[in-house]
Amino acid sequence: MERAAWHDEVVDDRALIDAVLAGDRDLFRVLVEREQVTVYRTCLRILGRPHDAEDATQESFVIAYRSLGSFRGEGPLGGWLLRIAIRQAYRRLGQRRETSELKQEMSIGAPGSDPLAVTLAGERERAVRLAVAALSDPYREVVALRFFGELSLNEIAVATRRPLNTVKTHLRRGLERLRPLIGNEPVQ
Amino acid sequence: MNRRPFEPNELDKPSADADRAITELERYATATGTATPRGLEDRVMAALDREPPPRHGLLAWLLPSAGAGGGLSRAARLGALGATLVLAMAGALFAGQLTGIIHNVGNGSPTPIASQSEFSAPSPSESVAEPATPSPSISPETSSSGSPDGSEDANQAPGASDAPQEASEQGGEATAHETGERSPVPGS
Repeated sequence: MERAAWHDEVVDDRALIDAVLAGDRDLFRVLVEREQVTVYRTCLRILGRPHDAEDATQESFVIAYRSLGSFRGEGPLGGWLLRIAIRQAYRRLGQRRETSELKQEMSIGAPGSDPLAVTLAGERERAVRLAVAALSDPYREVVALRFFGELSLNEIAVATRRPLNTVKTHLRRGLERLRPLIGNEPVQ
Repeated sequence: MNRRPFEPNELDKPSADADRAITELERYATATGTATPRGLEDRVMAALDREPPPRHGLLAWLLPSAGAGGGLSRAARLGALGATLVLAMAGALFAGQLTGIIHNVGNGSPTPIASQSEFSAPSPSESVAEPATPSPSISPETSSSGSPDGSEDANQAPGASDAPQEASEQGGEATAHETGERSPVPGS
């Protein structure tokens, strides 16, 4: 059942892409409407700031639009788009570090009334973000696709064109490398 | 929006370190499940209005936008492009040589005989000289034997004294050798 739905989505994606490539730019809005929540949420989980996440989301869609002709249609368009978004968000995060803009951030989760709790929650979230960002590829990409983008392992395998077992191994190794990074992150 | 919680069977094998990291990541993902900001879709579409139409086909494959993963790496694409150029140059050189040979054979001038001799060994200078000074002692040797000695003579003859056309043929041959040596490089 899930497989059939996935197949339909791929077929729809192909038709959508062909129409956009043929010059119907407005049809790209369908893709933006469908994927903006996932892309924005993923960017926000990587960057930690709503404003940066908005910018990264916009950049990701623009890059996807420019590169639409290179999409080979081997899986859902959403997975391809998420890979672009993750790459773009980490690029932006790297630029932020270079310009020393990575200052203390407030929690992007549920707001609380207790300032200390909000600060502690923000630190904890920041520790997770930085720990994942410190991973090397392919571990970082797999962890981000699974936990920030919330793709299934099958979807990740298709999007990255890697065997499912390889994806599982990358995920486990990434998580094992993540553990000390999260645990050792100092709370300021 | 429904989250996709992590299942224990998603890893290739159990790992205590991975489990701890999963707990942190799940907590983070649950806390940061936020909605998209208002107007994001219009903002993206407005940005797309400034974009030229996306590239198609081979051009899109060879020149993807920065950040758009997809398909081969940049190095692989450049390698493929280089190999294509080398093959095109080799093809053009070969076609040029072939045209020259055909042209020379068609003319029936002394020069084509020299060029023919590169393939069939008998000495061109001697066979050209044959009608002018019919010397029975020379012509039977050259026509019947076609020995390595005769072919060496044939190769030496044009290089030393003959027209630029032959020099250009030699040049063409050298280039063909060069391309023959270069061709494995892009593939490696």
